[in-house]
Amino acid sequence: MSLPGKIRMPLQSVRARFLLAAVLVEAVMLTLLVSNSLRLMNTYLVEQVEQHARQITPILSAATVAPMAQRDYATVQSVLDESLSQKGVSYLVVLDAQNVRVASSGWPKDQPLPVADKGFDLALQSTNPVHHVQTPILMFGQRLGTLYMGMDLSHILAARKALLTQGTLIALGELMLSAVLLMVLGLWLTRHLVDLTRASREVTAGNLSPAPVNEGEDELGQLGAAFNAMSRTIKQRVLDLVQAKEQAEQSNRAKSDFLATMSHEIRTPMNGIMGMTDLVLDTPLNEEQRELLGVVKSSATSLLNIINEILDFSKIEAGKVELESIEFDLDQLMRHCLAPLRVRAQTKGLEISTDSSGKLSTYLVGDPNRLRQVLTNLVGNAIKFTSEGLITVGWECLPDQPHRYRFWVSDTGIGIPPEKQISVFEAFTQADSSTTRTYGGTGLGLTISSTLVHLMGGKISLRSALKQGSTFEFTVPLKAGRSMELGPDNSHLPVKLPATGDAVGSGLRVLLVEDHPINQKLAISLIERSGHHVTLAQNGEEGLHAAMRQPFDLVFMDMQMPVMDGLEATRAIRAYESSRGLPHMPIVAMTANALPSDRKSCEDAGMNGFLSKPFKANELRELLSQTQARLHAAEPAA
Amino acid sequence: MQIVLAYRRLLLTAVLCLGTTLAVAQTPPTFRLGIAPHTSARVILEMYQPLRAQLEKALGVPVEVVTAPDFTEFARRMLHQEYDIAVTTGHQARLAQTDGEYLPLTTYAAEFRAVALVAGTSKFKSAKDLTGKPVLGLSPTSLVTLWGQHWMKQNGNPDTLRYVSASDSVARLVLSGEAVAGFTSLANYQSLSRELQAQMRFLVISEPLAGRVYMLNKRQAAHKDQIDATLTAFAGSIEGKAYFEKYKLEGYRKLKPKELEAMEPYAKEVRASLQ
Repeated sequence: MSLPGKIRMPLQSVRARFLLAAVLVEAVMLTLLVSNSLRLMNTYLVEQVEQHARQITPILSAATVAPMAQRDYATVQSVLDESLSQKGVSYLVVLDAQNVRVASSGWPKDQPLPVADKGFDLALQSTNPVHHVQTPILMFGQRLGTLYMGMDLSHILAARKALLTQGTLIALGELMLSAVLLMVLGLWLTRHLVDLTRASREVTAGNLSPAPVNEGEDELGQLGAAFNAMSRTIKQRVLDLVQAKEQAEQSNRAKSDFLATMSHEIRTPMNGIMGMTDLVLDTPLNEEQRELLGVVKSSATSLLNIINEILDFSKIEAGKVELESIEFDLDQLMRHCLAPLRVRAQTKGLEISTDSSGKLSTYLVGDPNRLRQVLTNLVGNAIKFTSEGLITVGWECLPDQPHRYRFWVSDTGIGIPPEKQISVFEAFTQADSSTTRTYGGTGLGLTISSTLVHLMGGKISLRSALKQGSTFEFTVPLKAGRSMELGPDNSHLPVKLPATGDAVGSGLRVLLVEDHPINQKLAISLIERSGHHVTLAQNGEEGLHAAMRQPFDLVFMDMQMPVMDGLEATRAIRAYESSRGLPHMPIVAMTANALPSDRKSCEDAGMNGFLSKPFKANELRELLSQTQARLHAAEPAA
Repeated sequence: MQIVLAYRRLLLTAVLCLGTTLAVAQTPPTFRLGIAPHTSARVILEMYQPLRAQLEKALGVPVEVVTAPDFTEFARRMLHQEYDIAVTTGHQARLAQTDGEYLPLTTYAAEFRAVALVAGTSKFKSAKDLTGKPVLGLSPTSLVTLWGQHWMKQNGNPDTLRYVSASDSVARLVLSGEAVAGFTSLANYQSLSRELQAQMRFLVISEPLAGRVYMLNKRQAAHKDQIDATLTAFAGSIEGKAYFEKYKLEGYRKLKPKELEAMEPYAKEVRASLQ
């Protein structure tokens, strides 16, 4: 079936082909008919001419016998003259027994006589419409002379021409009439097909309920009925599929929601455990208590890492991983990334060296958090699987591809046997099942890293030999960025915090909007221990009212709360400030929702920073001290 | 321009004539047997075919039987030496002998008589009865016509005859009433159908006259004996006997002494009419 609007060649339609075939057959039959008529007429006319000749010659012979015997050539001449007046005779000439021309009528006397035609073919006579006949004048066996006679064929040829012309005209007329009739018949016969084509095109265009085509008892009617049935079935199937798709999407959404909920629900108690442990560690403890709490904190950190990996893997599986494209400082990122890892390495007596070479842009555009996650994972693995020796972390800009960077992590660890190297990037896989028992871990780290590198548009690879160490390297595209005016590390606080200008001299006025009691207690303890004043609001609405009552130097805003969530409360605070011409209070989001889309929502609502739960005590303290430093810096100017 | 055209026409005619001459020269010499038109040409052709075949076989050359529209024309052609053998009535044979140097060969044994035919129902009994009425002859120079003219004149009827071309026509014209009488030969009368004969009667029958005589052209004189022998052989052959029987000619006989000379008076009239 051709598409609507597509140019149709003249012979593409069945109707045109049928018409052409029928006209061709009829043309052939008519040609045969006319040519056969001509052939029959030719045969008949030839017979007529020959019969005429056979009738005339004996009469002429009889009429000329006596005068020829008498040598009465004047009489012979008069006989010829009279005979010539008959229709169908062109000339008559008589020769005597000595072949001397004795009488002639209709043939010039000074011209030689023509040779008699051996055969008689009317087709060959068309240019010379005379049939030459020669017959002896015999009587009682005595040859008295020879009669030459020309049979005039002009009227026969004219009749033949007329038959040919009229036959051709009639045939052409019949052909045209047949073509018209066949065209009308074709239109009548194929009207169902046209209807069917229209309905099929409608279905193709997306209309699952086209007007039903005509049905009937004949083949085309049955085809129409079958099409209508098919159309109904397609519609039902499509509806079923749409319904199934919606159900699947709903299930997926439920899964995503569950994932988000789980993420929040797990991080929140973890936040409590780790925060409270930090709080206890800040109190006077004996050595045994401090060691035991250190184990609690280390276990909590490991558990958080495991939970994070599982959540990351779940997000990857659900296709929920979102990448950022923001500007960052590569040197700073590497420094901050490696600093805690160096501490871990040193506890195992290992050293981490760096190797960066070539022309490097400090400021790049990409997803710094995911890059950090991959590097942390690879270096963490290197530390984990190396008992002695050196770990090298290197990075460079590929010389032939200025926007592609290569990172590598080499160690002098246990190495990976060649047969296991292929599967190390697969989920839940470690080089050896005993590895998990020996070194711990979920086995998801390399899978997550590999997937993130691929999502960033890069490739990850491995070179390793057993007991000789391993080298993991990956390349990712990173565009060059412009220089930024950033604080020491604002990856957690990407937006500058404004100063309200009326901070309390000895401490900050902090509004904590948080519904969870453990988080409330943890945050209040950390903030107050740092010498600041906390006003607690149980939900967004209370937070708004508190902000309307008095200005704060810093607001920590939870995202998910009853009555009014953090985003809505922030928008309401910003609206209030704008309506009163008040300076904007710095509002920092505090949530277990770690997705980039969540950060975007926070920024859109008017928040200035983002603190991911479970936050660490020093992160919170650093934030508070940054804010205090800004306020102090703003005071002299004010 | 006209001169050029005339020259061309002359040249063309000359070429055509040359072509015709060559055509004639290429045809074998033909022995021409001329028969006086005593009856219709068709009858004459049929009648002399057996003899023609005999002569052709004997002489080894094509032989054609020819005649003439009438006796006068026959006599004229005969005297122009157009026939190798001329078979004609006695008085023309005499003319051929004297004026054309033909050699007498033979004649038919049957008597030749001229007759005057009238319708059987008519009341004419003498020449005078015919005075002022149409009377038919063959041609002015035929023997029966000349004899009839003489007979009418001697019997007091000065009328001139009317001429028809064939003797069988004479009988029919008399019976149809277009003429009251007609002269023909007795042999011709006998060749008519019995039905026709029954409807007619003789007004007069002549004394025996010299009948048809075979005269040989002098250019064939060298072959005279061969031709004589051929005629004799023909007379003795089955075909010849059938021929004589059919036409009641009773065979050939030699000419009697002075038989041709006796025809001189009639020959004189032919000679005069030819002049």
